[in-house]
Formats: sequence, C-alpha cells, structure tokens
Amino acid sequence: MFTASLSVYPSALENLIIDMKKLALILILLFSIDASYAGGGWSQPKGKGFLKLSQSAIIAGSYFSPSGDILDITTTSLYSSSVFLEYGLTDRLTGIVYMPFFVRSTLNRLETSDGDLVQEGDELNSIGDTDVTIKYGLIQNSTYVLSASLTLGLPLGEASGGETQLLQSGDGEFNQMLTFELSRGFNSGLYATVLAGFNNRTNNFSDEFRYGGEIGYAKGKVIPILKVYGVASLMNGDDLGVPNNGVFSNNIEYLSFTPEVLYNINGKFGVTAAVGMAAFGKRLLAAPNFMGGIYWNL
Amino acid sequence: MKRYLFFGSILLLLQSCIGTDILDVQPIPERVVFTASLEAIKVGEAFTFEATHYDKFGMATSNPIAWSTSNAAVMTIGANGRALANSEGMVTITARSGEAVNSIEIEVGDETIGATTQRMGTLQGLSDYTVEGGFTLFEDQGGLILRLEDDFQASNGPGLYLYLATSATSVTGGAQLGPLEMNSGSQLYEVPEGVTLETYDFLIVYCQPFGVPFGFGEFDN
Repeated sequence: MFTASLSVYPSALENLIIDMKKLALILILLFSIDASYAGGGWSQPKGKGFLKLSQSAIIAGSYFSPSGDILDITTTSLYSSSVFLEYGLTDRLTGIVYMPFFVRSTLNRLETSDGDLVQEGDELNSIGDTDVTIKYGLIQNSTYVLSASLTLGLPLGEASGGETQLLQSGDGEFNQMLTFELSRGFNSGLYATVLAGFNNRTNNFSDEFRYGGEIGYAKGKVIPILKVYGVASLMNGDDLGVPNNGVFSNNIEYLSFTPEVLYNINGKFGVTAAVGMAAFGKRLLAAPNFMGGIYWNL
Repeated sequence: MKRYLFFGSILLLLQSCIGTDILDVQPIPERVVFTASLEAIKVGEAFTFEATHYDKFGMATSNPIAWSTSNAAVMTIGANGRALANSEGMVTITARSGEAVNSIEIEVGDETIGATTQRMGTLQGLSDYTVEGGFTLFEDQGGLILRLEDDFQASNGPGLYLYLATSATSVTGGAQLGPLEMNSGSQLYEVPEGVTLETYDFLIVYCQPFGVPFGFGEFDN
C-alpha cells in the first residue's frame, strides 16, 4: 500500500538563512516517502552535503476512495525507514538520493467478535522505490533563487508482495519528474518556497502535476515549518491496464498539510518531527503520517 | 558507533507486528425467500410452494413458514404450502416467518408456467471505481451458474471477489462465488449449493482484503 499512503510533502528544504549577506545556509531535511526535493530553490555548495535517517509510520483504518469519500477498510500499516543524501557536485549542481531501505507493510488479520478467524493478516518487508535527483540552481545568490530538478523514480520496491500479493512497497513504474522551486529568504529568519512539477509515469499510470509551498521560521534552535503539497492526476493513464494493485497508486490526488518542528542541536546535528495530514484525497489511506528523523550536515 | 546502534534499535522498535481487527457485522433485515414457486397455474391443478427464512445474519433457518392467500376463491393454500387453483384470476400468495414476509403474484388460468430459470442485471461502479457490464444467473444441470457478459469490465483492484448479496454494499449473509478471474470479458462462476435464483437480489464486486465494495448490480427480474 505504498502509494496509498498519505504521501506527505516530499520536501527537504533544509537551507535556513542565518545571514542574508553571506547567504550562509544550513540544511535541514524533511521526510519524503516517494520523492525528494531538497533545499527549495537553493542548491548545495560544492563539496557540502547533508545526510538524514528517518522513520515514518502510517496506521490506517480508512481510505479515500476514487470519489474522495472516506471508507472503512481493514487496518493497514506502512512503516518506512529511509536514508536521504544530498551532495553539492558543483556550486549549482546537486545530487540527491532518497532511499527507503526498509519498508514494512502490514494488513491486519480479521476476526469475529467471538474470536473466529475471518481472514489472515499479511505482511511485506522490502526495500522501497528509490528516487535519484539531479538539481541545478538556475538563479542563485539573488533575492529570489530558482532551481530545476530532474528526479528518476526507480521501481526498486515491490508492487505486489506478501502472501496475498496485495501489499506494496512501490508502484512498479519508472517515473521521471521535472520540478521547479522558487524560494526567498527574509532578514527576519522567515523563508518561503513554492514549487511546481510534472511527473511523467509509465506502465499505463497517469501523469501528475505536483504543486506545493513551504514557509518556515529559521531563527534559533527550534524551527517551525508548515508545508503544503498537492498532487493532481492528469487522468491520462489506463485504470484497467495498471498492475493488480494499481488502484492504490494510479490517479492518486491529494492536498496535504505537514507541520514540522526541527531542533538544531548544533551546527552538525539535529532532529526533526512532523505529521502529515490530507485535507482531501483520492485513492490513498486516510490517516496521519507520523515522521521523525536525525540529520547531519556533511 | 553507540549513537548509530541506538538509532538502529529505535527504527526496529518502530516497526509493528500484524494487528487484529474485529469484524463489525451489520445485521441485515430478516427475510423469506421462495424456493419453489411458479408464474401461472391451470385451474384445477395443485402446486406446493416452498420458502426459507433467513435470519439477520443472512443464515438460513428452519423457522416455520405461515402461508396465506389474497383470494381463496381463486387459490387456496394449506399450512404446508400446498395450493390448489380453484378459478381464473390473479392471486397473491404470501409467506411469513416472524416479521419477515414475502409475496408472489400468481395467474390462475388455462396453463401452467413455471418460475423463471434465469435472472439478469447490470453492474455499476461505486465510489468512482469502474465496474460495468451485464450478468446472468441461470439454472444449469441442477445447479446455478453466474455469467458475467462480454461487456463486463472492472477496475484492476487487489483481491476482488464476486458475491451474491442482499444489498448493494454489504456482503453480510451473502454467497461468495470466488475471486474475480478476469477484469473484463465473459466468464462463468458456479454458485454454492443451497442458493436459489431468488435467494439474493444483488451481485457485488468486492475487494475482500480491505472490505470495500467496488460495484454492484441488482437483478432486473
């Protein structure tokens, strides 16, 4: 049920402005399930990097149907342990890898109130779909900074797993996503990013338009952030032609809000916690996505 | 190194075992289903009607059936369901068990016509899932077969099953026909023993693992 999950704003804007004259940046990483954006419009300086280990958990007893109604379902859970690495190849070119190295998906067993078994539970343990991104800073060292990113979504996860072949740690399709991110920092410590992207999907999956925004206040050790992220399907795929579990990963639409708090322990190390919630959705689990992680500046 | 081991341990602890959900069975209305009936009967002939009571969980019971006629001058019926056609006209035969009741209209005239041997309907999707096409339930060599017609197609979902059911959205008390073999085209399914043409009024395409109906069709006849 990988992509049925609440795919919270896959952002990783981590650059916090502490000195606008020098535009010195500190990276902060935000959790991503199915994609990796980093730094908003800012690119990593050459030789600098960022590493994050994170964990997320979704436990859902309800589901956004294709019409957007919330339906009760057998409880399904998704746990993802991931690593995110970002590294400045040049001052404008940044390489990014996001890999959920361990994804566990479970489906609850079903019993009657008398304890009689109705349906066995199921589980899947696997690596997840991995994103490899190359980002180029189109406009840097300016009031407004702009970057363009090309993300390749590698289908390393399982599209049909577990005893029932019903659980997922990936959608089974190779996608290519082009994203533009525009950011601005303010002297007060406030920063803001808007983004727009186009996700070209294969294997009869519909292409997607992605959009989002993020604001944060980066002054002091505690940094509050609010992210908004949306996915709109172009509905140009073949709903009948996608893989067996494609109903959970094709034509997904949602608008999510993710408040997040970061604690910058020192210049090299910090922790973060967030929870993602969907304002509306189609074809995804209707449950919060709880996330936590630790990061290092390289 | 200790820090990394600590974080690794935290990651492992955050994974979960498979949990357990308790099935919330919603009671359905009790009902009486005719298991032996006809459409018309010739004056002077006799016929034994049969019916079965189903409880609020859709299970067949042995509860007694009380029979009655709307016009004894046209047709009389005994306590055991044995009916005698007395004169021409239309009559309604009613079977009752507790609060559950069912009726059938019979024409008494110059010929006897048995009950229908097949029922048909058309599927439609729920919640924007694609489910469409015709289906037919028919008698075959003493049993029942459900046929999805050539124009059938359904969204490619996980663990889809076919159910005959008493409502459009619940499979409680329904009869499972098995997993959906193909997502399009004509296909046949054997109906479990004990199910008659009249036992259920709906066909449901049901996502079994997650308990979500994808679509349904109601018999037209």
